[in-house]
Amino acid sequence: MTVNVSERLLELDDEVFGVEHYQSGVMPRWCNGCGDNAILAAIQRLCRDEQLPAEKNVFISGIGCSSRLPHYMNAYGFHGIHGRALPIAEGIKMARRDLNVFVSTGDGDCCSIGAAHWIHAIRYNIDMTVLMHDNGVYGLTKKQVSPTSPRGLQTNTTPRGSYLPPINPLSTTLGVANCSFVAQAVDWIPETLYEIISAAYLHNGFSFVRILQRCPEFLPDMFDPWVQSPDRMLLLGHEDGLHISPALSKTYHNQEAHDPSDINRAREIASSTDIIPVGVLYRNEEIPRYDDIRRPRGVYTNEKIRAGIEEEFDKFTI
Amino acid sequence: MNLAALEKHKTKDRQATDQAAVSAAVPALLAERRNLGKLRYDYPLVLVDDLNTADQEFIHSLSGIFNQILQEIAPPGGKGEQTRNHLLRLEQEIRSLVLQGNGGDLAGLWELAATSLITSTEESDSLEQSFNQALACLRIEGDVIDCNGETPYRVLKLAWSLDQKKRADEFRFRINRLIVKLTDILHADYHKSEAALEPGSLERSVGTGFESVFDFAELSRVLATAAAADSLSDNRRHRIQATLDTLESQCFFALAPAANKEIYSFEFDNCVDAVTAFDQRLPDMVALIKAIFVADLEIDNTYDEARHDDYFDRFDETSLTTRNVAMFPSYLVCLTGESLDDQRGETDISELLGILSSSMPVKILFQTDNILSGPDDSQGPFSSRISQDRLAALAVGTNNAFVVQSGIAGLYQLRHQIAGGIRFEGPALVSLFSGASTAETVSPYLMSAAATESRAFPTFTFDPAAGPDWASRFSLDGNPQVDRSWPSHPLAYEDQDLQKISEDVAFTLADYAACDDRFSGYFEQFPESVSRDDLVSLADFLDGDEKNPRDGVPYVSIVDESNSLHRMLVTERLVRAARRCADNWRSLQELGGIDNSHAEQLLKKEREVREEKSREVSTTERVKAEQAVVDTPPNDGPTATIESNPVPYNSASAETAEAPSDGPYIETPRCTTCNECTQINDRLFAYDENQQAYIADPDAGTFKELVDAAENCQVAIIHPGKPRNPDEPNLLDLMTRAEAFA
Repeated sequence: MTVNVSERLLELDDEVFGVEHYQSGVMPRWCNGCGDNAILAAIQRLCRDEQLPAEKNVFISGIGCSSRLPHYMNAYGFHGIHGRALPIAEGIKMARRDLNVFVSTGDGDCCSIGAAHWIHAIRYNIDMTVLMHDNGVYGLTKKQVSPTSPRGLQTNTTPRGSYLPPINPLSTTLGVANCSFVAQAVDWIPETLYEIISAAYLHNGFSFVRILQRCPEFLPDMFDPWVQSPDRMLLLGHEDGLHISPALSKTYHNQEAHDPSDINRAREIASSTDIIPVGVLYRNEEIPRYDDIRRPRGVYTNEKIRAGIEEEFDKFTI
Repeated sequence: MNLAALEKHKTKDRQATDQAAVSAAVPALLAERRNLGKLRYDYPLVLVDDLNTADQEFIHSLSGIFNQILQEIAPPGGKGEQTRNHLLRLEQEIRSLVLQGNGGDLAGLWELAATSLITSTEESDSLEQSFNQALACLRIEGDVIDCNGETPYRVLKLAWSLDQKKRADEFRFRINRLIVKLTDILHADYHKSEAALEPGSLERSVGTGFESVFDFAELSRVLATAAAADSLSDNRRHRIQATLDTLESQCFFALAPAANKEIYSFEFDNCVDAVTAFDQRLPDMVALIKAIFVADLEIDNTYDEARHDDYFDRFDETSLTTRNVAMFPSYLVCLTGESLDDQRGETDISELLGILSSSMPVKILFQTDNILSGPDDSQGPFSSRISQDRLAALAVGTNNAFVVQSGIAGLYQLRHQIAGGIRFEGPALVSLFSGASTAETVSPYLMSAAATESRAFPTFTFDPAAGPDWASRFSLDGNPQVDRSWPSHPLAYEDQDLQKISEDVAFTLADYAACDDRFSGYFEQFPESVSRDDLVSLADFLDGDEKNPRDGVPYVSIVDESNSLHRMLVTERLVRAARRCADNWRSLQELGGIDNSHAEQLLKKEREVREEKSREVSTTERVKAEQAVVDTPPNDGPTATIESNPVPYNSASAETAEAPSDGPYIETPRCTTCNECTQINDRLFAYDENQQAYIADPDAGTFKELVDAAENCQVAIIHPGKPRNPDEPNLLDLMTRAEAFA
C-alpha cells in the first residue's frame, strides 16, 4: 500500500478549473490601460494553476481603485473600509485557517490611513498574501497626493507640488520585526508579476508584494523611463526566489543573483532610487506566525461554549 | 606466541599478591575514575514529565542544570567565585546522595543536600544565601535518577509517554472537531424538520423565564410556512450517524482527559502480546480511519455517493499508510536480555524481527545487562542463539526500523535520537546496555562507558527517514575516536624507581573484561620464564591478523585497589573475542563512512588510471597542456562583483522568435491585460488562457483599428503589419502611423 488515501480521494475529485471559473462575471470598471487589470489576470492565473477551490479563497480590500478587486473574483470577498483590510483579513484567517486569504490594498489605503494596521500585520506574520497596488496617487477620488507620490507631484491637494519625499514601502516592511516575505513586482512585466504573486502565495506567513502599477488617467508618464528602458529595471533572480526565463533575459539584461535569505542585501536593494528592483527581496519561513501560536488547542463544543457563557453571566448574578 | 606466560610488573607495591591484583582491579585507564562521587558527569539525570513547551527537553543532567544556574548568577572571574564554589559543592552533595541510593524529586534532594551542607559548616549564612539565589533560578522540576538497571526503562517510558500525550492531544482535537461538525449537520437538519417546529419544541428552545410572552402555536404555524424544503437524504443521515458512532466509540484515546471509559493499553513486556493486540485492534483502526475520511468529506459537503460509496466499501487494512497509522498510539515493548533466554524468548525474538521488518508502530526497548559471556558460560561459538550485543546491528539490516544502540552512560547525549525513534512513524529498537551486571568493583555507569569505549557495545543510530543514503541515515556519533580501531588515552604512572612515565594506552575489549570480576578467568599471570621483551599490548598484538599473528605475549594494564599497576596476560579466548569485536567495529566504521573500502578501492583504481594516462602523454603534449593551463586565467582569481556583473538565470538560449511576417502580431507574453485593444475590437483582439491578448482573427477588423490599438497599447506590443484590404480609406496615413510599430 503506497498510495495515500487522501490522494486517492483527491483523484476522485479531479475536476479541472479554468481561468473563467475564477471570474465573477462582472466586467472590471478600471480604466483602460490600468495596471490593476494585469494584477487581476495574474491572480486568476494563480488560482487556476494551483487549482484553488473557489470557495476556499477570500479576497479582502479597503478603499480605492485597487480595492475593487474582490468584486471581480469568483470567491468570498469583503470590500472593507478605508485602511482596514488587514485587520479584517487577520480575523478571517484566525477563525478560518483553511481559507486562502488575499488582500488587495493601495498605496493610500495601506501606507496612509492603514499604516498602523500594516506595521502590526507584518509583525503578526499571519499567513496571507498582501498585494499592495502602488500607482503613487489617489485615483478613485481624481488625483490627490498619496504617501508614495513622487516629490513635487502636482495634485488637487498639492497644487504647488508635494513637499515630501515618498515613503518606501519595501524598506518600511523590511524594517519591521518578524517580517517574513517582501517582494516587488511591476504590472508591465506580466511573467514576473505572476511568478512573484505565486511565490507570495506559496510562502508560509505574511507575504507582502508591492506592485508598481501605472495609472493611465492621472499619472500616465510616471513609469515611462522604466517601461521604455528595460536596463533601468533590476531583476533579482535566485533558485529560491524569482526564476528568470531566457526569453525575459533577452529584454532585461540587468540582473542580480540575490539570495532572499540575505536581509541586509535586501535592505540595500530596497533603498534603490534610480532603478526598480523586481523579485523576491526577502523570505524567511522560520518566522513565528501569530495564527499558529494562537490557534485553538481544543475544540469548542456546544457544551464548552455554553459553560463559558454561563461562567461569564455568573459574574453578574446579584 | 606463548599465551601460557604471564609476567607481573608492579610499580609501587611488589608485595601484593597476584590474585588480589586480578580480583579487585580495574583497567589502568579507569583507575582515576573509580570514585564517581568526586567526578562531574552527566548523571544523575532529572526526568521532566510535564513539559510546558514543545521545545523543552524531557531529560536534563544535573551538571547541565547547575551550569545554567551558574551562568545566570555566578559571573566568570573572582566576582562569582564564592557562589560558584558553593553551588558546585551543592551539586556534588546531591550527586553523593543519589549515589547512596536516595531518590525522589529534585526539589526534595536539593533541600536535603542544602540542609546537610549548611548545618555542617561555619559559613552557613553565605551558603544559604547562594543556595536561595540559585533556587530562585531553578526552573526544572522532576524525578532524579541515577545510572543503574532501572534507568533504560524509566527514560524510554518517559519519552514514549510524552509522545503518546502529544498524539492524544492531536487525536482528540481532530476527532472532537469532526464530532462537533457532524453533530452540527444533524442539528441543522433537525431544526428544519416538522418535529422541531412543533409548539412544544419551540417552547423548550426558548427556555425558562420568558415563555409566557410567546404564542408558540402561532409561532409554529408561521415558521412552518417558511421552513426550508431541503433536508438530508436518508442515506446521508445514516452515513453521518454511523460515522459519528464510530468516532465516539473508539477506544484508542480518551476523547476527554478525564473520560471514564476503558481505553486500550499499549505497553507490553513481550513482542507476541504486542503483535496480537495490534492485529486484534486493526479492524477498529481501519473503521476509524475510514470514518475520519468520510467525516472530512461530509463536513466539506463533497461526499459523492456515486464516486465514494464504492471506494469506501473496498476500504480495508491494505488501504492504510504509515502516515494514517501515525496518529494512533504507538506500542511500547520492554524486553531484557534475560527475558529472551527461555523458550518464549526465542518466539519473541522471531516476532521482534518480524516487527522491525514491518510498518507497525512498535517501539522496543531491549535492555541487556551482560554483553560478554564469562568462561563458565555454556553458550559456545557454535550456538545458534542471537547474541544480545548484535541485535541492534541485525535490526539495521532490515533497512526499515529506527535503531539506536548505546550504553546508558551515553543516554543523555542520545536523548534527541531516542525521542526521534519514538516519534518515528514505523518500528524502532532502542538497545541499551545497562552495565548493571553482578560486577561489584565497577559501577554501572563505568561499566557501560567502558563497553562503549572498548567497542564492545558501540553507540550508533540508524534513521531510515533521515535521507536516501547511508551517510544521512547511519551515524556513529557518541563513540570516542571513531576513526581508530581502539581509542587511546595517555596514562601516567611511576615506575619502581619513582620516575614518572607517560604513555598512550589503548582501551580494548580486554580492558572492558577487566572491569568485571566474572571475567578474571580470561586473564592469567605471567610465568617467570617470559621475558619483558616478549610483552606486547593487546592493541598492538591485534594489529596482526588471525592467520599471521604477531609475535609476542599480549597483555593488558590493570590497577589494583592499592593503586599498583600490573600487566596481565590475556588468554586466547579473550584475544579471539577482541578480534571479533574489532572486526564488528570495522564493519560499523565502513557503514559510517570511515575508511570505506569501496571508496578506497575506487580511489586506488582512479589513481592507477590517472597514472597510466599521465605516462601515455608524451613530453611534448604535457608541455602543451601545461602551456594551456598557464594561458587560462586562474579560477580563484578576482571575480567581478554581482552588482557590476549581473548573473543571468537560465543560461539556455531563448527560443528563436518567429520572423515577423506582413501580418499583424502581438508580443503576447508582455501583455498586461489592460483591455485597451479588446475594447477597440473584441473579435480582432482576444485574450488567451492566461488573459493575455493575441490576434484572434486579422480579418475581423480594419487596419485602422490595428493602428489605433498599437498606439493605445501601454506597453507597445501590438504590431499592425501591412494592410490586408487595399481599399481601406486613408491607407497612406495609417501606414505612416504604423511604421512606428514595425
